[in-house]
This record gives sequence, C-alpha cells and structure tokens, in this order.
Amino acid sequence: MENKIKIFLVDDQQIANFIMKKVISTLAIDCEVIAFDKPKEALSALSENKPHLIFLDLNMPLINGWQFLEYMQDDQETKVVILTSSIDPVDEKKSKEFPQVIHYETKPPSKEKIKAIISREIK
Amino acid sequence: MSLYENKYRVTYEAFSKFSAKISKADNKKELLAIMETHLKYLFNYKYFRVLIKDEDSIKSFNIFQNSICPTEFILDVVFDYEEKLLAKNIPLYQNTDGSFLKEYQEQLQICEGKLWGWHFEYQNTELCVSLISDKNKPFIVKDIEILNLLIDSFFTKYQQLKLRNRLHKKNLNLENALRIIKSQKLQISKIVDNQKSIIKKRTNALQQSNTELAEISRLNAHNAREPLSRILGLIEIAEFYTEKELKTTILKNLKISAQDLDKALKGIIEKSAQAIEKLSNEDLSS
Repeated sequence: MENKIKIFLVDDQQIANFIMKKVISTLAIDCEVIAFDKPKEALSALSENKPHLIFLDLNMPLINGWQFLEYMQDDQETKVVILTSSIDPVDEKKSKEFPQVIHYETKPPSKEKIKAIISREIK
Repeated sequence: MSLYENKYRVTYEAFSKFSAKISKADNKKELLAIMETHLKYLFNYKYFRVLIKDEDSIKSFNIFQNSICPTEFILDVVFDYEEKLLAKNIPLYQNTDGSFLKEYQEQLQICEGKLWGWHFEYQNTELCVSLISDKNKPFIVKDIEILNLLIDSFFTKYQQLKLRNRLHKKNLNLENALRIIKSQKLQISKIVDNQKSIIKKRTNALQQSNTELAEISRLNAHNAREPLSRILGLIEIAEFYTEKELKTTILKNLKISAQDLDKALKGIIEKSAQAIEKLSNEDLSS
C-alpha cells in the first residue's frame, strides 16, 4: 500500500474523467484514482488524501484550473499535470509559472504519454 | 537798400519760415493751417484759392482774408475762369467784383478787385491757383515769383502726404490680407487636426474590432475543441470494451459529446453572424 500512487482527476466533464480513468486502468500500474467533477470538492479532499499527482483541467466553471493552482500554492508535495483541450500557447506558457506543474498535456489523453508521466512519479 | 529790396528781404525770411513749418506738417489739415497762417506774410490778397485736379478727383481749398470761412479741402464747383485755365493754360488777370463768391462777396468788401489766375501742371496733376486782390490789398507782378515758390513747396508736401496715405492704405490692405491668410491657415490646420482625430478614432475602433474578433475566434476554437477531444478520447479507449459495453457506455457518451460539439458549432456560427452584423452597422454609422 505504501507504494501505491494516488491520483486525482479534476475535470467538470464527467465523460473526460471517465476516459482518463479507463486510460489509466489499461496501464497496468497499481494506483488509486479519484475523480472530481467539482474542483471545490477536490480542494477539500487534498489535505486528507494527499495525492501524488493531479490531472487538472483548465476551463471549468466556478473555479477554473488557474484558480485551483492558486488555492493549492501551499501544497509542495502534490504535482500537477495540466490536461486541457486548449491548444493555446498562451495557456501553456502561463502554466510554467506554477512550480507544481510538471506537464502540459492536450486532450485527448494519449496512453503512452500518460504512462510515461505516471511511471516517472513512481520512481 | 531800397524799400523794395527791403520788402523782399522780409518776404524771403517769411518764406523760409513757411518752408520750415510746412516740412513738418504731418497731414493735409496741418498743411492747410500752415498755408492759412503764413500766406499773409508772403503777398497781399483778399481771397486765395487752389484747385487740384488729379487722376481721380477735383478738390479745392479757399483762404479768405481775415479767415471768414474755415480753410479745408472741399469737393466743390469749378468756377468758369478755372475751366478756361484748365482748357487753355493761359494766366489770367481781369477785373472782378467777386460775385462768383456769392454770400462771401460782401464780407470781403472788394474795392476795384482784380482776379489773378495761373495754371500749374505737374505729373498727373493740374493746379489752378487764383486770387483776388484790390486797391487796399494790391498784388503785384513781382509777387508771382514768391507765389511760384509757394505753390511748388505746397504741392511737393501735398504729394508727399498723398503718397504716404496711399502707402499707409496699402499697408493696411496687406495687413488685412495677412490676417485673412493667418485665419485661413488656422482653419486649415483645424481641419487637418479634425481629420487626424477622425482617422485615429476609426483606427482605434478597427483595432478594437480586430481584438474582439480574435477573442471570439479563440473562444470558438476552444469551445469546439472540448467536446471533440472527448469524442477522440472515447474512440481511443473503445478497444478495451466488449461489444455490449460499447453500446451501453461508449456510444452513449459519444452521443452526448457529439451533441455538445453540435451545440458549440451552432453557437460559433451565431456569434460570428452577430459580430459581422455589428461591424457592418458600425461602418454605416461612422
């Protein structure tokens, strides 16, 4: 259980979370995935669950991806991968301003890339 | 020294005073006042008159002995004898009772009056100089010499003042023209400034429209790409499902996502149409 990697999916689109869950499940990596379609709930669950990795969408109502990153500034442990349908270079550039962000991925999620990202975090 | 020579010495002294005064005259009124004051020291007369005929006018002034009438330039009649003088240029010497002076005749109290007249011609200007003398105020042929000098210096000054007036008028005209040019220049620069501000305004409006359009197209692209990325993702994971699962799960989500994509595209088309309409309205109103 110690080595089991804990992953949060934060995306207001349930279908997007559904796809990511399936992609991760096919990787044959032992991990625990928790999906949130309300960013606020994910923020509340952060301190209790202490996930290793968050796949974060940018374009969300009420709390968007940027605001989400602002709220979790104090959390130095959790790493964030932006997973967005935006291919705007301005967004990618902005994401580099946040130290937690280790990757910027555009949807649809590619199985190989997701595998590479998660595998790196296990080591 | 004879009495006669003595008289002329005095006369020339009087003339030199007159010359000095006249050179300082600043306008025609002053010139006439000097004439009136000094004339009596130069020769005898009851009535003295100068008619000036130049390119565009005939004017005259009269000097009466004892100043019974103010001396000033007037535009009045040309007397018959002056018509003759102008026509024939022959000096005049004849008896007169001064009746042509009408109401002034009586006050002059002419006794055995003589009418003298001379014609002077200068460039573009003719002068008729005439005077009435009588037994008590006799004018003699010898006085003609001083009269010639008087008329010369009078006319020189008269001409000088006239030219100065003309120059002054021309200067005024030029100043006026300059003022008009300046005000027109000001108007032109105002028009140019106005044009500049209109151009700036329109350029700003265009830049703003461009920014708005760019923003709209960015949002559009994003709104369309979101459901599309779901569709692509669903297709990606489809291979891990059984045929039954495909129908229940994947197809259902594909349908939702495709409908979302359709909604997004409809929204894009509507927004673009609105933006285009807004822009063309702005073009018409400005």
